Amino acid sequence: MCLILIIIFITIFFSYKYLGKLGLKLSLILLTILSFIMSFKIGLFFGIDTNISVIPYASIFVLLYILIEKYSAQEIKKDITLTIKTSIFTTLIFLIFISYTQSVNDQVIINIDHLIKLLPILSTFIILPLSILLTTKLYKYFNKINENKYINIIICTIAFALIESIIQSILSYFLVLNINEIMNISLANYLFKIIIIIVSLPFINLMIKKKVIS
Amino acid sequence: MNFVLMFIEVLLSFIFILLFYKKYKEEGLYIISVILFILSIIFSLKNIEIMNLEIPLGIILPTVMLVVSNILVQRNGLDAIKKLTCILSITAIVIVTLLILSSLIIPSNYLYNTNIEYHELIKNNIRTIIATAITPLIVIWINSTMYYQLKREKNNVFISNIFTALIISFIDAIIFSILVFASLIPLNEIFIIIAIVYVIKFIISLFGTLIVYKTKNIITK
Repeated sequence: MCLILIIIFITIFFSYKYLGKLGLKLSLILLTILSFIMSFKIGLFFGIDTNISVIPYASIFVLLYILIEKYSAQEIKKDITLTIKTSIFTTLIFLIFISYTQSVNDQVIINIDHLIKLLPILSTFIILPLSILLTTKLYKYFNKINENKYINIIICTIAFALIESIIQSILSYFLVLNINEIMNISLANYLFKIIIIIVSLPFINLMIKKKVIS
Repeated sequence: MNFVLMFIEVLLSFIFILLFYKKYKEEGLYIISVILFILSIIFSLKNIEIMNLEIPLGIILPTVMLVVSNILVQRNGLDAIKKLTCILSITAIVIVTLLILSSLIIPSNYLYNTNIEYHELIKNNIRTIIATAITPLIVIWINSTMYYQLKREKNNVFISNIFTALIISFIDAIIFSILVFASLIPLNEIFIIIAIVYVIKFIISLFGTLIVYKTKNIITK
């Protein structure tokens, strides 16, 4: 988990350093698609069952806070639209992907249709754009009340991520897991989202101060 | 059915290329390239049957990426391709590393079989994943250089596109098939796969000519 997070941060850092805002946009796209792909697996992090997509998913919000702090509201609106469009395209492409008839030999080894399911795709498709929109509004609202942006980021995550994790887990595992298991996963997702955001605060600070190399 | 889906996939990709291009201009082309590139790597995990031969699905979206690279050459010349290749190389390294790392995460007991399948799927297809990541980088570079020369000689979108499609689809099919299938299946089957992949890629590239033409009109306007 730590290694994946470090690689994501290094990618964001260098893509911003050399490509500027385009680098941040590309990182946002990369993380959005990774959230879709990784949502198919539940892993054990420090002995806790969690959907592994929590890593790219939380990183999207790290990136979102960096974007909000660095760019104007109008540019953020463009970036949110971009994420929504990417989500739509990815979802549609995944739907086509599921519909292809897999070769018979391949099915004997691993039937990919057992792995790539519709529910996690749809839940990410619905929840991700909504979360980004609401988090942006919530963060801007907190910024008006309190000047300390780092506290605002933590409050925003604590306040919003729980509802988001529960809805996302219910949508992803509805009728697949029982309610106790779904709640365990959603609470674990919530916990890891908060941890990732808190761990990322120095990185957010670094990125806000960072200048682009032309 | 699979051919109908291929057609829908290509059509959808073209629609989004135009959409991203109209909205975000040059940036939009880099963005859609990265999206197509990542998705093509994921698509390579599934094989479909064409003429009783297994062919990875990852052959379609890289061909659509060639159309994007042609639009970039038409608009910005070879400098844009250097930037695109650089971006795609970094994307390839990051996405392949992250996929491998994510497959190595200890699986949970919830949906254990699914979690194990995730690991097995990436482990079994690592060669195809790497081939799908490497081939477009080589092919985009050759394609763009050729397209650029043709554009300088005779600035005609149709001639440049069809001529490059004719040659590049073949090079693309050879590189991809050798990287994926060499030493795994008999040579005669590899030749048939090259032929099938070539035909599919060439047809997609021909459709792509219309998109390049359409975007050229947008540039002119």
